[in-house]
This record gives sequence, structure tokens and C-alpha cells, in this order.
Amino acid sequence: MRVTVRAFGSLIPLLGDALTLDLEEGSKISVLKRLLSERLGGRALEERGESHGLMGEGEALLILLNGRNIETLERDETELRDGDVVFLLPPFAGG
Amino acid sequence: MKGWNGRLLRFDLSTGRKTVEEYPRDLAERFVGGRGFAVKLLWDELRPGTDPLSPENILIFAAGPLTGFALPSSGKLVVASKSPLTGGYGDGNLGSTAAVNLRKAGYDAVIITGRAARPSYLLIEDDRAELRDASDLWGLDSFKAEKRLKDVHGRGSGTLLIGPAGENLVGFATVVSQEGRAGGRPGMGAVMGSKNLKALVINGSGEPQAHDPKGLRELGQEGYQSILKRDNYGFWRRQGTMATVEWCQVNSTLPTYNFKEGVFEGADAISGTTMEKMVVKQRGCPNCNMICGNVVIDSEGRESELDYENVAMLGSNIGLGDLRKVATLNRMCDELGLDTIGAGNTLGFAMESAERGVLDLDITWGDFEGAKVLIEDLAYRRGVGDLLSLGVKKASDRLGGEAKRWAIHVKGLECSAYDCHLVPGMALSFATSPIGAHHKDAWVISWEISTGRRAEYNPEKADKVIEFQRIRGGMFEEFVTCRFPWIELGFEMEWYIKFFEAATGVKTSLEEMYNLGDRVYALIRAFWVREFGGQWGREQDYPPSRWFDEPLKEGPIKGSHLDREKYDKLLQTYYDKRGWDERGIPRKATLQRLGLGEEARELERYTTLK
Repeated sequence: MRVTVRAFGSLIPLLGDALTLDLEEGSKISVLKRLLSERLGGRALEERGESHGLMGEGEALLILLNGRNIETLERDETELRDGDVVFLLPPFAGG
Repeated sequence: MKGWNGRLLRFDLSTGRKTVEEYPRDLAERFVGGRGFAVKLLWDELRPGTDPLSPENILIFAAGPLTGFALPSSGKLVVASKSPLTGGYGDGNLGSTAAVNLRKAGYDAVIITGRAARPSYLLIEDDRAELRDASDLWGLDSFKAEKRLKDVHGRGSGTLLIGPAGENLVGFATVVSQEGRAGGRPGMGAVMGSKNLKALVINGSGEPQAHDPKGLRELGQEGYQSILKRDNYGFWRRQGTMATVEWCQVNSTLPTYNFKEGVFEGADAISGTTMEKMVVKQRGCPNCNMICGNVVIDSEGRESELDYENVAMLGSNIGLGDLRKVATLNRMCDELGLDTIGAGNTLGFAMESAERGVLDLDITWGDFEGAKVLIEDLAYRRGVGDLLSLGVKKASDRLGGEAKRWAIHVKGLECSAYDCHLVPGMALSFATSPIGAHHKDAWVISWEISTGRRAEYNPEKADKVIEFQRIRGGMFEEFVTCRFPWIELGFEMEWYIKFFEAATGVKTSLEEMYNLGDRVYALIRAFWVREFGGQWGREQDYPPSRWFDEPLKEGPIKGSHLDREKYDKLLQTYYDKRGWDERGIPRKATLQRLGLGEEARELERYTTLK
């Protein structure tokens, strides 16, 4: 199955605006995270959150599956489907 | 005093009289500068009940103790007055050479009273301050007037101007500088216009004196280097605040069709990524190495400087998905001296009112030509523009009926560009902002959404709003340094403590700066209460009713809306944590704890303190 990953903000220079990944049927968010971390040279995806201004506890990379926060779904265990769009939003503070 | 110049320039436009005043050290230490100076001076000197557009109103331009030094993002000043839009405390800040030159001229603030007999501009050059005739500038847009003034007084002159909107006393007229830097959303430009004051031109030949000049210089250099090394620096330089368009779109918080929706079908066409392909140059404020103004060529072939707020408000909020056309509307607002946020919000209100048949106006969503005409009509108060120039609150009051339902404001100030149907913390931030619905003080939305608990009304949200208000609305507004290095790149707050100590020789701490923020917030709230007297109540701290009563109809979180009962509880939590009573008025003990005992006694003349 194919999943589109759209990076945002400081992740764009590292991952590009959008990339399409071929994943095995039934793959979960955890698999996607591992693949992306490999692309970041083994640096965990979550580390991208650490260089921003004060955000406090709970601040993390925001992952949206088809516009819905995975925290409100099954988190890393959320199953992906063909055609899904995953947004990766590092902590962001514009405005 | 080191760091501070220790001098205020007072100018009475009615008499042409100039006074230079050495102010007490107590003012510097308790209120630091910028917004702190402004509210203290307004509290002490403005007679309650003053008509904001009368000669008696006081207009203040205040720099801070770091302004004018070579320190990151420090070239800014605050403009403040009693607001003609809201009737309460109003301010804004803008980056301008005028801020740096004011300090070089030997002042920390300029206090303007009275009304000039004819259109004039105020020329400040070191010890000289005189009123010059501006008959030939009156009526010119802010870009043309600025060019003329710089032709006469030099390219390096600091200028602060109004356009026709300020001259015509439009409720959301701003003060503009350097073709696109604007500040003072709650009608600070109209206050200038009411005083017949077209511009200030500021030049100075001196330098502010630091307590530790060598140490401060080195710290500044280290600070600039540190900013350049930050992870996010490269991307920031590419998009600045414009990255927010896409971020808001995917999170359903992009103001769309007058804040009815949080997603816009044309979002990609107005995004930061689209802008990147159009940028022809970048502009920034003085002393800044993370400049955020991206200049594009608009649909009329002119340059226009974009950032998120103006693009969202003049784009998605009015249903316009064409960035070059949005850029044209933005440039027109800057020329005319109209607040882009207020204008976009008011256009959305007008389009919805026309759609509902409440306003006799031939305009539809996304109607570019109609928007151009209406923007001009707003600035010149022609036709229906006269009514709308009052701002959406007053316009909806006059229209009557149900128009209030789609007037999107807090305390009379039009909401800036975040839809809050499902971010109660951000709604609380808008609702308790000290000038009305502005995002500047407590931009909690990113934190709130990324926690994965955006729908909750937990007490931590009140804590976070207060924390941000202390830092962004407190420390940064008093130092008058930009919040972006800290919030966008993680440039640590401890840098600013070091800057302050090297500049002034005064030891301080983040805790003391938080306390300063609380003091300034309490005094601003006291100012509002003194103006409103018995009419003040917690309903003033409510976000627009639309977010409660009209659920989102589009996007992944459609059906979402705020909950009144839960919001009210969150508001009470906020009051309790601030030490304010159930009306949102600081308690007597709170004022005393913050060193505002004298102010508490004054406030007791207008209301009962608990």
C-alpha cells in the first residue's frame, strides 16, 4: 500500500515537502516512524522537537493521520491504510 | 542610570511646547520600558472618560532599555493610547529605525498631547523637537509620505506615519513605518489623525550608554551567532510566519469565511510554500538577523510584504485563494494605514452581512474587485465604509438584529487569524489579551494542539496562557524585543536577562520578569475597569459567540464547537490563578502584592475591590 507523508516546517529540508512510501499491508504508525527516523540518519523523529522555544511538557512532534491527531486514535498502534496522508508537524510557534 | 536614557520627551501639539523630563529611577525599575512605561503613564496622566479622539487623549511611543543596542531583534517600539476602537487600553509594537533613532536622540519615550492647528509632523533631532507643516503630505498614502519625508530629512531618518485611514479616524487605523511595518491595531493611527499628526521623523546623533559596553557588545555578537546555528533557522528564513497557513489548515484553525470554518479549499494557493516561489526580496526590522518580511510582486505589479496574519485574514477569511491578489489587498492596507487583520475581519463581516441581506452591498466571498473597493471605502469612510470603519462590534450594534452573531471580536478588537472552535486555551488567550482579540500575548495554540488534548478545558491551559502572557505580553513588551528568536528558534530567555543586566547594571531574574509581567497586566486591567466602571464584568473576557453556537461544518473535526459552561470554568481558573475576582478585576491584595497599592486606592474610586 502507498502512504503519503507531508513534512512541515523544519522537517521539510530533511524529508522534502512530500514523499510517498510503499508499506506492507497492515503497517502501523510505529513502522512509519522507524522508516522516517532511518531517513534522518538514525535520529529519532521526536528529537526534532527539542530546539524550539518554551513549550513545556507534552510538547512533541504532532502526527496527523488524514487530519486527525494520532493521540486521539491508537497512537503508534494506529493502523495505516492505502491512500492515507500523514502530516508531520514539529513544534511550531509562528505568530 | 545606564541602559535607560532616563529622559522622556513631552510635546503638546496644541501649544507647540516641548518639555524634556528626567524621570525617576523607580519608573524604570518597576515598569522597565515599552508597554510598562505606556500603561503607567496613561494610568497616571489620562483623565478617565477621556474621548480617545479628543486633544486630551495621550499618545505614547516607548522604546525599552535594550532598544538601540546591537542585540538580536531589538529594533522595536511600542505605540499606546486609549483606544477609539475599544474604549480601553490600546497598544501595538512595530520594528522601525524610529525606535533606534529615538534612543540615539537621547529619549526612552515620547508623550504627545493636544491637537495641532493644522496637518503637521513632529521632527525630533536630538534636543530639537519642532512641529512642521504637513499640508502637502495630508492625504498621501503612507509609502508616498514616507518617501517625501526621507527626501527632506535623509534616508536614515526614522519615520512613523499614518495613511488616509488614520487621517479619517478609522477605528482600526495603524501606525506604519518602512512600507509595511505596522503597529497599533486598536486605532493608534486614528489617535494620531485626531491630533492632526501625519508623522514623526526622528534622528539622533548619540548612542544609548550601557552599564557594561564591552560585555554587552560581546553578548550581542554571541547572541547573533547562536541564532544562526539554530536547527530551524534555514526554514524560518525561507517562509517566516507564512508556514502557519499550512499548519492552520491541517489543524482546522485557519480562519475561513469569517471564522465559520477552520479549513479553506484554496489554502495551498496562499501557503508559505506557494509564497516561496514568488519571493523577490526579504525585509526585516533594525538589528534583526532572522528577518521575516517576505516581499512578493502583487497582482498589480507592485511589491507587497507578506506574513501569516495578513494572508489568512485577507485570504481564507474572505474566501480569496490567490496569493498575488491577497498581496494587493495587503499592500493597499499598508499604504492606506489600515490594520490588515481588522480589515480582513471587517471584510468577512461585510461579505457575510451582504450574503444574509443585512447590508446593502454588492460583494460576495472571494470577490477581489469588491474587496478592493471596500478597502478604499473603509479608509475614506465612503458609503457603507463609514459604518464599517467603526469596527465590527460597533457596526453590528448599529445594524442590530442578529448581526452580533457574526461580528468576530473581543472587547471590540477584531480577532486575529486563528479559528478557535476546538482550541479553548487559544480562545481564553484571545479573550484575556490586554487589548482585545490579538494573538500576540499568548500564542498557546501550537502547544495546545500538540499535546493531543486540544478539546480539553484543563487548568494547565490557564497556566499556559498566563505563562505566555508573562513572557510575551510582559518581558518582551517591556524590553520591546521581538519574541521570535525565543519562540521560533529556542533562543533561550536567559539571554535577555544577561542583555538587561549588561545594559542597565540591574540584577534581575526570570522570576522578577514574570512578576513585572503580572504587574503590567494588573495595571492594564485596572485601566480598563476604571474606564468602564460599573459596566465591567466577566462577559468582557468571552470569545466570540460563533465558536460556541455554530459548529464547524467542514474538515476532519467538523461538528466541533466550544462549550460555554466549561469555558466559564476555565476562565474562573484563570482569574483565580491571577488573583483576580469573579468579575475579572484584580483583588486588592493582588494589587498590593504587585506593588500597586497606590493604584488600588485610585481604582477604589471607581469600583469596589475585593
